[in-house]
Amino acid sequence: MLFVLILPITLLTMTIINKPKIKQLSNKTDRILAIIALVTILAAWVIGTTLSEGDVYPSLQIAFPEADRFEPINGSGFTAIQSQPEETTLGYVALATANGYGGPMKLAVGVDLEGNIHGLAIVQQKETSSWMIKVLGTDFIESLTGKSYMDDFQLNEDVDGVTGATYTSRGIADAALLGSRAVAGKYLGLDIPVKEALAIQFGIPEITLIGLFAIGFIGHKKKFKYTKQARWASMLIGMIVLGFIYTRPLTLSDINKFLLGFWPAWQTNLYWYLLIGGMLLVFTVDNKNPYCEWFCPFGAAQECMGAIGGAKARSVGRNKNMLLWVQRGLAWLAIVLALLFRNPGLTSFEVFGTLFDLNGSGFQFAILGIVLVASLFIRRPWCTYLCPIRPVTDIYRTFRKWILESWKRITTKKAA
Amino acid sequence: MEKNNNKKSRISEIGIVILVLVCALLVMAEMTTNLVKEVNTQDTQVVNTQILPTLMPLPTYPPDYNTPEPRFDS
Repeated sequence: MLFVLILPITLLTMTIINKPKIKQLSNKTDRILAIIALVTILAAWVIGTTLSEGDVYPSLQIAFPEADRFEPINGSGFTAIQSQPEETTLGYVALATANGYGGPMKLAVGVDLEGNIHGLAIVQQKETSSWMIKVLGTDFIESLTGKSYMDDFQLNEDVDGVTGATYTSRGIADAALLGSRAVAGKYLGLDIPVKEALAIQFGIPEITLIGLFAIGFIGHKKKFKYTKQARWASMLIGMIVLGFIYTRPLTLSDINKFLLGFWPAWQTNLYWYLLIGGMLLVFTVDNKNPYCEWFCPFGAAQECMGAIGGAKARSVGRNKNMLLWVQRGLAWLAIVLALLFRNPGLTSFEVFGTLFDLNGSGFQFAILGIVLVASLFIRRPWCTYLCPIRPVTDIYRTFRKWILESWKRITTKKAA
Repeated sequence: MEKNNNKKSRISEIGIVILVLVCALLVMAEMTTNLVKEVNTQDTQVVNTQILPTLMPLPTYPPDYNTPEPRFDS
């Protein structure tokens, strides 16, 4: 909560500092503030890792409700025991971790003496709440109980996935599989099937993304004649395919996952690697933002609205700096809180899913409404004033420039 | 004429600032709501299609805080 109070104070201070004379912050000030932002983000990351996790015992009870006692075994699982009328081992509970969309999900997996799943409890998860609610609104978790350690737990094969929450349901199924096989192999002495290598998922979203990066790369060339047409084509493809069909725009949650080190299996999350890796690569090599201007689905949606209403870039006069720092402050706050709570999607306030999937809170629908109406008259109002991706790219650019300048100075000195 | 244009552009500037600040407040409200939810659910368990607000008192297992928490990682 402290951060929520700090933000307005910081913004107010920045406004007072910048208001009278300085229209543009100097490089030096920019760099100092970039360092402060980086240090606070790092501090949040460190504090987040040291926060203790909750007690797991209640989850054991949920995974095996008939048991009245749980005994740890070799530090790697629990025996579920019923004491009355006589002491009986009912089964075992393993804590298993697999990756969902927002990062690792930990499940308590109760397994009976035949190796079948008896009960499941989510101990810890970092999913976007709307997706988790979607999963919990179905009988997905119940559908896993009774499954054997010999089953494959493959979505849409022997397990029905949840449409619109594929990664979350896959994470739960993966953790259930890992837990059941751990119990079967370690405590029940059963032969567990050899784990097959993960199949690489390479489909329309990945192909589209590579194609859009290629169009952006070619379109940026000065000699290219059809830049305007290529950009519109790229934006429309991005909006339709990555937005409306697959709902996979770049969000702050993706950046937070990267910062938190919640890097998912590349075979099943190739899209994420292509998006983050592609942006980092192009930025580092070319100092260009290939995503935002060329194929961000929400940017394209705003430009479509703008084309209808005749939107143009509008001046905000001396308020420019204040609005810039509002945008940066919000992005900073969202990142710091996500790292502090080690939950990438916690403060991801974008309204992309609200538009493309009609999924969001009342606040998000209100923001979306304002932004879409404003898009009729102002060019890309979300991107210009609110999107948290822009401050992230700004800070990256600042450090990139600084490093390059320092490197140049060093090499020039050496040459002299 | 010039005065009119200046007035129009000033109104447009103020309009944009108000819109952005309203959106920023909504964003803060959204973040605060999510944060409160996160803090409230940290001590609850999400399970079997419901979020249990409190957990029943557990009878006989004495939590052993000295034993490292067991886990199987993927």
